[in-house]
Amino acid sequence: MEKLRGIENATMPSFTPDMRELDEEGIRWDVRQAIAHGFMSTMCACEVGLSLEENKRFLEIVCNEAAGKILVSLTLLFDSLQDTFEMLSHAEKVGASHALLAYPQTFRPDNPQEIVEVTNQISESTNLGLVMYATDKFDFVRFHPSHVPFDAYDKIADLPNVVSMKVGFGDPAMTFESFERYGDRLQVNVGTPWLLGLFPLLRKRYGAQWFGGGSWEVWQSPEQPLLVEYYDHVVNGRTDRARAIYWRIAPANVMANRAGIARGGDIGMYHWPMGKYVSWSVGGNGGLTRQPAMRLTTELMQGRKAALRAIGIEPRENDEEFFIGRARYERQQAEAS
Amino acid sequence: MLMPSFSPDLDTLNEEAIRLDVCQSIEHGFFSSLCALESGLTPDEQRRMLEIACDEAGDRIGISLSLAGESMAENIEILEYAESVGATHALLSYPQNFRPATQEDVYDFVSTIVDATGLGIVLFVSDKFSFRHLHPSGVPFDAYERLADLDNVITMKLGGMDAALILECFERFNERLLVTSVVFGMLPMLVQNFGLQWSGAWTVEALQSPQKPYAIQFMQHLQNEEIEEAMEIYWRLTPALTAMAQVMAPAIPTGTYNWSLLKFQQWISGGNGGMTRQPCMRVYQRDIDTVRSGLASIGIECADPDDQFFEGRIQ
Repeated sequence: MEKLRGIENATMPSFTPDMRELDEEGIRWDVRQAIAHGFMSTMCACEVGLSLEENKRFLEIVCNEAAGKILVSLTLLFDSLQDTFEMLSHAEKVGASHALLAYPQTFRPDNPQEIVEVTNQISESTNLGLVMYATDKFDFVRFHPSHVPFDAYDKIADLPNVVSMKVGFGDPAMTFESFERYGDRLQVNVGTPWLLGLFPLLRKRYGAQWFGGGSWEVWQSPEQPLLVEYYDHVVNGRTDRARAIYWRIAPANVMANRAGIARGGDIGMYHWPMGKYVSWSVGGNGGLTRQPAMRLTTELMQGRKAALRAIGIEPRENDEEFFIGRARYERQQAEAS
Repeated sequence: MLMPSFSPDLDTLNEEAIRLDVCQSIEHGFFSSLCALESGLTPDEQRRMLEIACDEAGDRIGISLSLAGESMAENIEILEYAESVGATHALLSYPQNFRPATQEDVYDFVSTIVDATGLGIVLFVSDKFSFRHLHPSGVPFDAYERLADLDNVITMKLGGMDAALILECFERFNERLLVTSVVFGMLPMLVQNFGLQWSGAWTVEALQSPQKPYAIQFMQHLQNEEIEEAMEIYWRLTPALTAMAQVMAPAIPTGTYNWSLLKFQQWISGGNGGMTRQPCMRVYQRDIDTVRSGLASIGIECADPDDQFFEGRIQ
């Protein structure tokens, strides 16, 4: 838990141009980018359309590239619990440090106790640190109007390897309740853009110390790591400097909230190509993801570039590079010359 | 909030209906009601509405007004009148054509208004004023820092959702002003960290009825530091809050409000209802169904037919 201090981004898989194979070079590029950004960890998004074997390989590549430099986590968003167990076992072997607790889309518990039982099984199957997830994706609203099944999470929070909680959507009352209930036991985090502005209060009152896996590149580049600087200023009590940076990066909030990877946040999945475009525009590998995939429109691309310029960061210009993938594009250019 | 009610042809104010709505606010347990004077009234009608509201309210609740005049002169005139009929405070606003080049312009404009009245003034932080050229937050902080020190500037209403904006305003101004937010879900942390003591002005009727004053109870529990009880009520009324957010969302970025829809939310629990004048957003059946269903799921139902809303209870 002590190591969870800083900002964790998300790494999404990269593919060969025909989408048939993972692009190892592209994946490694993105891990190096996460390090260059100043993030303390990167979360492998495992729900982006990979087979179980590919997910294992993806995680292995990321862990290998990250070794000793930043932490690696993974999302437990798989089609079955069996896959979850298998990935957790693999994750331990290849050196991942923690995992975001999630449930298969077919998991339809009748009561909160079933959530506890399933999570118990997950917890007992691994030594990795687990991050409880407050999200509206699981459709647990039938157990509690906040979408967070607090009765179940109260028990899950006491499991020995549950170390943290990701507050994953911007409901202020749910945020309050989550920090109040678990702030003394777990490292409750900033897991959604809306909480960025509240971070100084969450830091002061609850000791919040990390931002959970997300598309945090929205607000910075490796050359101008504005969000990392904001984090550092808040953590060190430099309120005026933190505020100055917040208001500088605020113009990008609109994009993050309305046209970013979340696409409104209420459809239960993310716009992965947009996530990769966000990352590419400040130096990441880029490249599209497999079907089923949301479309990357010209408006989204232009909006991203405009948001970056609004906060004083010059975006990468050549969209062709994005569609091929930066690592591959550079190799092709070198070979051609 | 107190919106005007009209005769069936929308030609004249409906005094009896306005009085009903003031009484409803008292029944709901509100401490004050804000007259929304920018909802399509002539200056004379604005005065008359304010007079009726103050007369009906007497010393039972406070009556405030929005300073949404088209010029500084209009604002000063209505403030003078408001004082004479017994209004208690006024929500600062800016004319549509007010385009300050500097924060000094904001200060000069507001301080002139403040100097002209004995009423308490509520500083207003809102996107609708387009002040982002003065500060990226849209809050002219330098001007507001000075304005907060004027004697009859007493509170600050935060109309936005940005958490950093809310936090910074509380940290900067809460020791001098009674700062408040309209983000209902943030009230627990704002009470806990800053001692917030009021919320307004907004259509609280979307969350309660006089018989089931959930929002009032929620605030009382927070004030008494009974967090668990407060949150229990909060989560109980969540379906109504969700419905409110859903129907109000389309108007939020427009810089004005769907006055008629706000009146519908009040009509459900006994308010007069009725449409407001052109230019007027519509009250769609889908919105009616959403509001009714949200409130019904927290036990607040209205047996009266929808048509009665469009006429108003008192005609």
